[in-house]
Amino acid sequence: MSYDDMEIDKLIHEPARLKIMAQLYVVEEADFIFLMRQTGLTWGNLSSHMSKLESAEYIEVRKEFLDKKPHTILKLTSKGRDAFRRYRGALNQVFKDLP
Amino acid sequence: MNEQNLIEIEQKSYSEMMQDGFTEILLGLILLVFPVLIVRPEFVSIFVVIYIFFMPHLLEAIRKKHVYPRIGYVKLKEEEPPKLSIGIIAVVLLIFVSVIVILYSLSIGIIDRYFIWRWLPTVFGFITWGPSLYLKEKTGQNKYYLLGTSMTISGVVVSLAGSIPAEFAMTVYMVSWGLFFLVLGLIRLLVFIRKYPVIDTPGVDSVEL
Repeated sequence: MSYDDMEIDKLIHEPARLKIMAQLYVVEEADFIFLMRQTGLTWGNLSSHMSKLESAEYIEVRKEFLDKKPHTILKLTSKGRDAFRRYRGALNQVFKDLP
Repeated sequence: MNEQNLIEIEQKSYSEMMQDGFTEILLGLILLVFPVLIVRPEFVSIFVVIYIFFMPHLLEAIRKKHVYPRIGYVKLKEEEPPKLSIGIIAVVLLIFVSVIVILYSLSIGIIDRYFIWRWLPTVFGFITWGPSLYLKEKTGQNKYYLLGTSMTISGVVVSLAGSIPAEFAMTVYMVSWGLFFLVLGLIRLLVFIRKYPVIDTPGVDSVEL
């Protein structure tokens, strides 16, 4: 396989979004606070990356109220899960092909 | 991002949700109630109703109020049921045959209830290897081996202490461990509350994108 044939998903390849995707890949769902703490991102940063991933339909965002405060829960969609799997496969291929 | 990285992220997520001390508090309460259930089995139905039906809802309500606002909420992946293998069939058969043998031995008088009470701490000690190994696998932390090891050793010691009446020995074993886990859980809960203040969230919609 040549490097031109390889598709590295640029949306996932960005380090902050990769952290979010990897975290959501290993769990069922997580809220904003949990993701902030695990990824080390700020509220604004996480919010902005969340919007990009949501626009690509890689994650679904559910908003509800917990103790009268807004509570945002994020979950990987099946499209996002497949994209992450493909991304990992592509990266593994890159390293496998190295001499 | 290899398989090992993902396993570590999953284990870290699991460990995060274990640090509030509620697991230890629940285990402590179960152990404290256990001697009553052995001596007075008619209370089993009350135990089942409280612990199986009400406790999970109560625990979730407490976590929503005191845990999630501090460290966030995560729902871990649900376990896939184990595939039916020869090993699982063998274990189920072994348990089934053991129960039949014990009931038969009880009915014809080879063993009595005191014999069961005497060896219950040992059996219970070995049973705790189940959660011990499970927690080790889920969190990757070796400290959970300590649970199985210490409860098994103390269980064997208590069972072999022939000078103490069986009923008393079993009660001491369960109550001691119950109190230990209850206190440990409460300490962990206090440390957790001190370590993690409630995070004031602005709400996602209010963030300028």
